[in-house]
Amino acid sequence: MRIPPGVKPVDFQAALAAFSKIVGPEWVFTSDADVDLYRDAYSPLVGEPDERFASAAVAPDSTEQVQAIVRVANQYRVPIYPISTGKNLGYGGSAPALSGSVVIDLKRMNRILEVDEANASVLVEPGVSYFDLYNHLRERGSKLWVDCPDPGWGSVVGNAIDRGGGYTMANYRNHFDSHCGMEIVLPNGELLRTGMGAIPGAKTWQQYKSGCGPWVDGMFSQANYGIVTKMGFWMMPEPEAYLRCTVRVPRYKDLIPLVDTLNQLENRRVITGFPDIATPLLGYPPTGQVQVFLEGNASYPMTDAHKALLAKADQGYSPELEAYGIANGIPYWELWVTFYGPMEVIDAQWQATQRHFRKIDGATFKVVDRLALPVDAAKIEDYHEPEFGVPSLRAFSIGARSPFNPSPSKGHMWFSPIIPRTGEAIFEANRVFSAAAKDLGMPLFQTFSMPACFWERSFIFILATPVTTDAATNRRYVEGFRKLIEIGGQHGWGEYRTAPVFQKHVMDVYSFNNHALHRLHETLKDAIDPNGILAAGRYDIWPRHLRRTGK
Amino acid sequence: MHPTLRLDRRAFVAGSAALAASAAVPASGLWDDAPTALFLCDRRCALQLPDSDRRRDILWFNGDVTPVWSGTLRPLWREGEARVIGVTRASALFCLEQLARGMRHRVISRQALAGTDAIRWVIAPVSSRGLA
Repeated sequence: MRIPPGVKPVDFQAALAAFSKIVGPEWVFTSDADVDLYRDAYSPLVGEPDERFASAAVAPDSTEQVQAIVRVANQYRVPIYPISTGKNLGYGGSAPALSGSVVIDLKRMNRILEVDEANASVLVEPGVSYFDLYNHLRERGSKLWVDCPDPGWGSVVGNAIDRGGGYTMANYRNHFDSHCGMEIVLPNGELLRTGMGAIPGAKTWQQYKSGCGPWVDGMFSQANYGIVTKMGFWMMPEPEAYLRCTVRVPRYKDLIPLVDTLNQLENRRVITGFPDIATPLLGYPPTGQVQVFLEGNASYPMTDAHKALLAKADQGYSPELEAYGIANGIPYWELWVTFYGPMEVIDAQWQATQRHFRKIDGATFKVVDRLALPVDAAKIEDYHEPEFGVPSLRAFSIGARSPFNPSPSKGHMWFSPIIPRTGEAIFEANRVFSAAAKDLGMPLFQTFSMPACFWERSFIFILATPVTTDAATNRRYVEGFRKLIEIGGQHGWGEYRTAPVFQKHVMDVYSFNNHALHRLHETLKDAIDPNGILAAGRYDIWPRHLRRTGK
Repeated sequence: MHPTLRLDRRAFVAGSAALAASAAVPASGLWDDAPTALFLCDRRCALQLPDSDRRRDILWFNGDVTPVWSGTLRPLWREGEARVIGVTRASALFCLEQLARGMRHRVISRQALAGTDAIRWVIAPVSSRGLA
């Protein structure tokens, strides 16, 4: 059995015995077979001395049990690391940031506590997965949609507090932004409710987000100041209809007005769904179209002449390649736009959208799907399910062998920098990161990479750094990844989320005024969690006693 | 999905089937005699099963584990411990392995089938009681 760092074996045994009294012995896991389930399936450090392991796991089924566990952890100074469903693959999985921590597995806390159809909101526990919530809503005939990520097996709460995103309307895609009210067990075991939930007998906990006074909810996302045991969310009412269209433009430089126009229309709520930019001329499919990825880039078939021009292009551009595209009707850029709402409204929005994009010379338009909702369940797999509020696991086909991916990896680490929402920024980020990746020998960039539009007003690159079976290669990729983080920071770009193995490096980029933000994080840590028992090291927030050794 | 994609999907699946047609299934079959709650098979692996296996009650799926998970596996494992045998591609097995972890089951055996991208695997309960 592993022992948490800095804990005497006798104290650890006493803590485990106390945990058993709280949750029952069958919910305390100490055998290697059990504890190995919490290893990160995508860890680039697998089998290495610095791979992160849990020492044990405890699975409470109530808030009261979580409180009691936290008090025991304080008594024996045992580091604990809460997970919801532990599916954070590519960002660290369920392995603790501090190796040897006891995982607090919240899967048993899987109650859907409230569904308010009129307010379009729910209140859930952290063990509720997107599948659970979807099935619950459908079984009760609800007309509420679940905005879910790819894949949809994760926790609604866990994804939100790790600031994940989805594919429906902008105000639901940002999962932390769409929450309304939290219940949190603080590191001393005290129970806190945020927003209007701080009022005993609150009538508007899931109606009004911020309550009164400092709004502290953000402190409990990507952090280690408390264990979230309940969380409210605003849900998307099922729209009447769905419209998906493409805007295609012929020239390389058209990307700049294409993005500018998209931003204007999205910010004015003319375009309401998930926008997605593909590049048929460069063979890069849209981010949200799992099916396209599944089938490989054959959706944009290329002649040998096309491939030869592409191979010679610099950063995805050459006058000859552009001329080839124009001559053969292959657009440089293809913007996929979606609309949700009454059919007559979304038809009008599409008309207005075309009017604005017509200012780009040569722009062409196409309606791809125009559907009354709901979609027949038997036909949903013809579409990208998350755009219809349906969780799916088909995203894992991305990792499968296909014409687009002839040599599947053993996993991946997501490199996910945020860049400005401009065409110029896409060009610059490609120039900077592709040159760096080439220098570092990182198989990160194809000919040209496109960012995703999960968030309003910014782009996010989500680039998979492969995890291989070769430890030396993985170490080289880890070092390369860290260098890319540093290079991004030098250009004013930072990651939105990352795995524990990179959290120090990412947070180092957020260094304004001699790391004032990080110093505040650790000042808060000392005040809220003086014994440093909770999720030590998460996002590089270390308790005082581990600041020298933990890092 | 637009028509071009449908064509590509067909071509892709056809190519996969051609690859899998040479799968070397042992004459003894893919299954064993241990008590097993479910036999799961990815249709894309296009296995030529011996008669002994064909008589089994097999749940076939098309590579996407979503309906298998929601409709069958999750309810099965919520009821309690259950051993499952399958033949799938690696991507589907990866998904199932992660899902099994959450229900306190794990992959105890995996065997690549020669001449194919299919894997024959067994998922069984870990030592402790399952999380539901």
